[in-house]
Amino acid sequence: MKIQEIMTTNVIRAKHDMTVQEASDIFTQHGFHHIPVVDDQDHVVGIVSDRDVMKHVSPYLGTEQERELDRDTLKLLVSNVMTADPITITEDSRIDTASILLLEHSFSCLPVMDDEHDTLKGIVTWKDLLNYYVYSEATE
Amino acid sequence: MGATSNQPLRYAAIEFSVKNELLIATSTKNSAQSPQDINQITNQLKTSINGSHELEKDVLHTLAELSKNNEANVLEIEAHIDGQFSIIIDDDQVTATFSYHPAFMGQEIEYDEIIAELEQLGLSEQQVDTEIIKQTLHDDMASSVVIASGSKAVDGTDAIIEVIFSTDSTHGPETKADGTVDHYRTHTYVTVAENTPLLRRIPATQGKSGVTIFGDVIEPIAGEDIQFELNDSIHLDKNDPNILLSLKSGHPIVRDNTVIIDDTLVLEEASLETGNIEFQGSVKITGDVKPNVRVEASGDIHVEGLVENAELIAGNTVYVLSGVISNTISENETHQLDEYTTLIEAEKDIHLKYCTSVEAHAGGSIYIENYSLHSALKAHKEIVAGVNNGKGILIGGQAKANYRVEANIIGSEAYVKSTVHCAGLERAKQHYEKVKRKRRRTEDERSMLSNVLEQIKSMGTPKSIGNVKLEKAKKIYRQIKVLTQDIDELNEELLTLESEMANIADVIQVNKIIYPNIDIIISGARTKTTTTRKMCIIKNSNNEIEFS
Repeated sequence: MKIQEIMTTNVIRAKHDMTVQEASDIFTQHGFHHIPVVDDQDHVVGIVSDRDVMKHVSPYLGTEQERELDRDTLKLLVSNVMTADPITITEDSRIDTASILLLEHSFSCLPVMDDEHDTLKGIVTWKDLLNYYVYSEATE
Repeated sequence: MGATSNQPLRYAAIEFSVKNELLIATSTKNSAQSPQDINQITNQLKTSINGSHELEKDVLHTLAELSKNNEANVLEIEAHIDGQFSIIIDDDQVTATFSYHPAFMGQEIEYDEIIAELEQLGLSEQQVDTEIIKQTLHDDMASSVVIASGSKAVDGTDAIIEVIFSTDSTHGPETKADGTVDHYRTHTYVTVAENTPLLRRIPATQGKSGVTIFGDVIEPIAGEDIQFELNDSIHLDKNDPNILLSLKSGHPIVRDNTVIIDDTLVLEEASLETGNIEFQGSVKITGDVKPNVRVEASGDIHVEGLVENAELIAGNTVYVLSGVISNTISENETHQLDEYTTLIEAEKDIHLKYCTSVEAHAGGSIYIENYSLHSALKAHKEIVAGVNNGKGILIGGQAKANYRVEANIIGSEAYVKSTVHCAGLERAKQHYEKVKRKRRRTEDERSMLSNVLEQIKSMGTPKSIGNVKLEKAKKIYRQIKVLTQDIDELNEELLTLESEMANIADVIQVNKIIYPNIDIIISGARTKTTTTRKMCIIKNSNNEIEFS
């Protein structure tokens, strides 16, 4: 079985020059835990997770102790907090290969690339894989 | 006598009784609705008196007269009847029946008399049921009982050969989704795959012996056997020699005790009468393929006649010894040809004498003897017009081939617009690059998995790392092998593509004339001919079309 059978297309992506505030809004709005980060040519340059954002945002924001310095943390760029150069796969990759890479590198998702144009085509998450292994007839 | 209707009782009824060893017949006036005849009186005697009695005829007549004349009377009748018996052995000597009539005021039958009779017939006391004889002698009623029985022989059954594959080939016209009826879908040409069970032989049986009442054996008549007649398209099932299997796929023809698997379906023509033809194997049509018929075969399709407004779909090669034509062509709003009423598709090559307004797709090459008019020809390899010393003319429509296009004449003196497209090398290169990218990606993935495996190996020996890690390592190792196999296959594909690219001439070869108004497209470069040129080779030279 190939990744194209289970991957999610129409991926919400973050631009590398987005602020952490904007990325945080995407996480809040869509309920995602991780989004691919792309450059102006839609090449994948990293993955940013909601935890990456939380780690770099001041915990005093929204509290009485909030200072200018804390507010400045929201102006950080996504490219400063993301995991750069993530492992990527293609839609022709085997599901087992993707699963091993996800497990052994402790990723939550893998960007799926259009190999010809080196652009983002989709994403596969651990939930997609779990759904496949539990519910797909091919694994019975 | 009991009256059940309102008819008056105007006749005497006869009744019997026994008194002092005499049979008494009493005629009672006005006791019957109808006179009693001899038979009724005999029956009356049997039901009234136990035992067997026979009255003289004149006595019976007298009693009948009394009844008829409605006269009262009492007759004392002497009726001495001796006991009687018989023993009958049936023709096949399987049963012996004892019949017994008891005595009426006569001599009784003695048991010893019966035994003596049995001995005379060859039966001993031990071979018969003496109890039932004794029982019968005690009954006053006449009766017949079986006193000895053997068993009949059961003859064997003849061998049977039965067909065990579906032979149903005709069905009514099919109603399509839009409610219209497709009268061309009336037949299914039966085909079988290799090793399909075809016939089952139920062998003859020998039958079962019987035994006479004398203890002699009765031999049965054995059934007549039949054997399969084998040929090169069938064989016996190794596990069950009574099952006949197909040795190859094709059309099964059942003949008595054999099946012939024909891998070519031969028809005189394809028409409304035959309906659409769908066949696993090759189809040979010795006549024409009539309009609206679809012929689909997993092998070759040979047509010796004309194909008109029909579809031929072959898993291998299509041969049309005559021509292929369409009567009408639908046009879209831009007046581009978009639909042809005749379609020919072949996984391999297409060989035609001529074609007009036809759409033809070949996984291999298209070879045309005389001409192609206003047709859309598409071949993975080459299109050659002019084979077998034919005229080799391409006029109108499109001819698109990956490797090369060759014709004697392209276009016409009327400057009919035609398109000749040779895109092989460009497309092949694109495909080659795609496969190379895929191989690189797969190699990268294999490398990443190998790194993970090395990390696990570095943790210790298979015994020391524990079961979970060991299983993980095994799984990764297996996946690396799968990816290695994928890479091997991609390498093979690349080699094939390299060899294919070496064969791609990417040229259009004109052996006689090419007329103006011909769109020439070769690997992305294009031009339109504006003058008539004689014999030439047309190719892409630095992205420009060059005639030489």
